[in-house]
Parts: sequence; structure tokens; C-alpha cells
Amino acid sequence: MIRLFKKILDGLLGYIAEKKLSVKGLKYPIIGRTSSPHQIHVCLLHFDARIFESSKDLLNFIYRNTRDSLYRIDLLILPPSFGTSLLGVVPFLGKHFYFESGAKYVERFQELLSERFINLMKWFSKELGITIISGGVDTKEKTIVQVYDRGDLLYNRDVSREKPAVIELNDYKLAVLNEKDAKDFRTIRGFMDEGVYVYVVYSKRSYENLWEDKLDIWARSQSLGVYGIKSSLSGRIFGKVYRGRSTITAPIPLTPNLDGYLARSDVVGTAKLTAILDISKLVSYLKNYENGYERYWKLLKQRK
Amino acid sequence: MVILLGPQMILEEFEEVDISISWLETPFSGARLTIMGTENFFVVMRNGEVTLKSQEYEIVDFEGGKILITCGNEAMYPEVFYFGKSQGAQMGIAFSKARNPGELALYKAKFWVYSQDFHFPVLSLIKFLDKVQYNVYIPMEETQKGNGILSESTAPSIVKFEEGMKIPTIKR
Repeated sequence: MIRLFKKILDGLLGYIAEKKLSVKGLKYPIIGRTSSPHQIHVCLLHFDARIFESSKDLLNFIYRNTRDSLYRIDLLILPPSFGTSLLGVVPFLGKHFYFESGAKYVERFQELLSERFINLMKWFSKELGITIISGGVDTKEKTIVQVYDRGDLLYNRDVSREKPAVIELNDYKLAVLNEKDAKDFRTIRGFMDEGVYVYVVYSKRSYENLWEDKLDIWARSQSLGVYGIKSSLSGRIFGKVYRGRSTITAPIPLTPNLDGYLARSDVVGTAKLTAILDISKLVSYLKNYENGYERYWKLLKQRK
Repeated sequence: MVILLGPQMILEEFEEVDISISWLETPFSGARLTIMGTENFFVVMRNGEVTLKSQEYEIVDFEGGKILITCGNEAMYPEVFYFGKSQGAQMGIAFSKARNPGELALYKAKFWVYSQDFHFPVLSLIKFLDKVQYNVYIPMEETQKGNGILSESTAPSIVKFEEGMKIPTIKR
């Protein structure tokens, strides 16, 4: 009897949630593409976790926050677990997002939220004409990352468990990594063989110490010479407080402050990080180190 | 183990130095192992005699431990330090020359990264604007501030490693 009642209740709540996730009537102007295929204009949104009560609420939030940069964006990066913030569309459950009980409700409505979130982001990336990388609907144990390219879902994986893969976009390639993969230079060197120069790291770890924060993608930008984008979780989700730092990194000689960061957020608060990743500049920088690459990396691969 | 990093100084510790590392200075007679180099080559001397010359990277035995030495462009590749570590090196020494502030910062970052990635001390000598910068990086959990930087200076330093090259202490 209780089970039946629960099923009916879930169906009712799901129906209301579905209504709130419609994109009917929403309109966003298309964003102008960059003229050079070698320059990737990146915009990363870093903000404390929050809940959204409708698709309009969520999309308006992103649009409002990126509006100033909208005249030129190729790649928009949204935080880990971003899809989970849609829990607010299910009546009465919004507040649970901040408490441990939220994880239980996300699992209960996983299918509905996940499917609707994917459709929403597909539509949005098509509407704006850009590539979006976003955290999906997940709980503490998983880190779902999705890549949308002008209406298509190109990648949808749990990066904390599955092996990283190369994602081919129109003008360039990128790879999405977890923190552990980003700490191993061999993973990235292997991808560089395939012509991948942009790496996106999704992290749910909190580092107060900036030096510890440098150990993943910042370190790889320096030791190997690649562009790195790190999106970290910040704020309170499911009763746990996260204080992550988001960054866009590059080899030190290619950064204006000579610190290896093109942009960096603080551990709390909201930040919009924008940067231009110039692939041709990076390739000419890497030419200085071609000899050793041939000699040592190939030797290391032979030894395996 | 006591390491003198840089040219000879007038200090009492001289008599206790085990390894002297410098940028092509007059060899320091008090050390049992002398390593001198530039961005193009390095030499290793034992008891006043040159025992090794190289332009790439080498692993040298000293007191039962192993030390990786590399110079110039070779020091730029993580693979070199990876090989060194996989062959049992407990410490890395690198000689490089920076042509501009960007390169200087990059080389310092690279050596810091290698010390964290491969979990051993990296002692680097970087020549920039006619001065040599002596940097000592160690795994960050062993430094008080948690930043992995034991010393960065243009003045000679003496680094003292306890057995197994684990917890170094520094005197200037």
C-alpha cells in the first residue's frame, strides 16, 4: 500500500517537475563564432552550489553570467554536479540539495532529472551555437561530465571511474580527466601524441593550500606544455562543504603574469573566468622541446 | 649528508661537506664528490679526479644511494626524471640556463613539479643574467609551509640531508 502511494506521489512530483523543465517560449540569441580556428575562447563559471526551480531559472542564470563575454565564446565550462542543482524542480525537495538527504532524492529522480538535463543542455548549446562542458546529475561518489556541441551530446561519462577519452570538436580536440589522471604525466603525454592540447579537469576535492592545488593540471601545463582548465566544486551539497578553486592554466611563458595561470578563482564566491587558448602559439612553444619528446617519450613507450 | 650548493664560502661547515655542486667553479677540495656543470655539460669528480663527463643525464652512485644528474634541454623532460626515479635515484640535480624571466619561472616550476611528481629532492642551478639561482625543492609534505620549497636563492647554501635523504635542514 505504502509502495503504491509512493509510486503515485513520485509520478505526480515527476509530472510537475517535467512541466518546469520545458524550454517552450525561451529564446537566446546565437553567439558569434571566433574567426580563427586556432584560438579557443573559453568561459568558465565558478559559483557556489545552488538550486534551480525551472529550466528558465537555470538557463537565465548561465546566460546572465556569461552575457558580457557572449560576443565570443567557443567553450563554456560549468561546474561539477551542475545537473544535480535541478533537484529544485521537484516540489518540496529543493532544500534537501544542501543536506545529506538530498542524495537519496537525486537517486530517486535520477532518470527524470538526468534525461531532462541532457535535453535542456543540448537545446541550449544548439541555441547559442557553442560547446558546453558540464557536470551532470550525480551524487557524492560519481563525477558525471557531459560535453555538448551545438545540439549533440558527444560525451557522457563518470570521469572518476572511467578511462579518459579524446573528444573531437570541429577545430580542435580535448580530453576530460579526473584529478588522478591529471597528476600522471604519462596519461597526458599519450594524448599529446593524438594532437590533444586542451585538458579539462573536473574535481570535487577542496584544497586550501594553493601549492597542493597546483599538483594536477597546473603542474602538467608546466612540465608538458598544454592548456588546462580545472572546474572545481564550491559550496554546500548533500551536507558536505566544498572549497575548490577553478583555474585556466598554460605554460608560464604564455601567461601574462608569468605564473602559469590565465585565470584563477578563489575557493569561495562567484567568478567568471575567461581566456583565449591560442593553439598555434602553444604548438610553436612546444617546438623548442621536440628533440627530447622524440627521444625520451618514445623510449619510455618502448620500455612498457 | 651535507651538500654545498654554489661556490666556496667561508664557513666552518666546509670541512664536513660530502657533495659540492656548482656552476663550473674552481673545484672544492673538501668534498668527496664534486659535481660541476653548465647548461651544456657536467662533470663529476671524486677525490680531485674527473670520473664522468656527460651532456645528457647520468645516474651516479654515492654512499649506497643514487643521484640523477642532468643538464640543459634534457632537464626539461619529465621522462628523464621518471627514468632516474625508476632506476632508483633518490635525488635529482639539474643545470639550466634561462634567457628571459619567463623561462626562469618555467624552469623553477618544472623542477618543483618533478620533485613533487617523483617524490625526491631536486636541486637546480639555473643561470640567469650572469647569476646562478640555487633552488632546493623537496616533497611538499616535508616542508613546514607545505609548499615544497626548501630554498631559493642566489647565494650559496648548505643543505643537510638526514639518512635516506628524507628530512633535509638548511643553513645559509
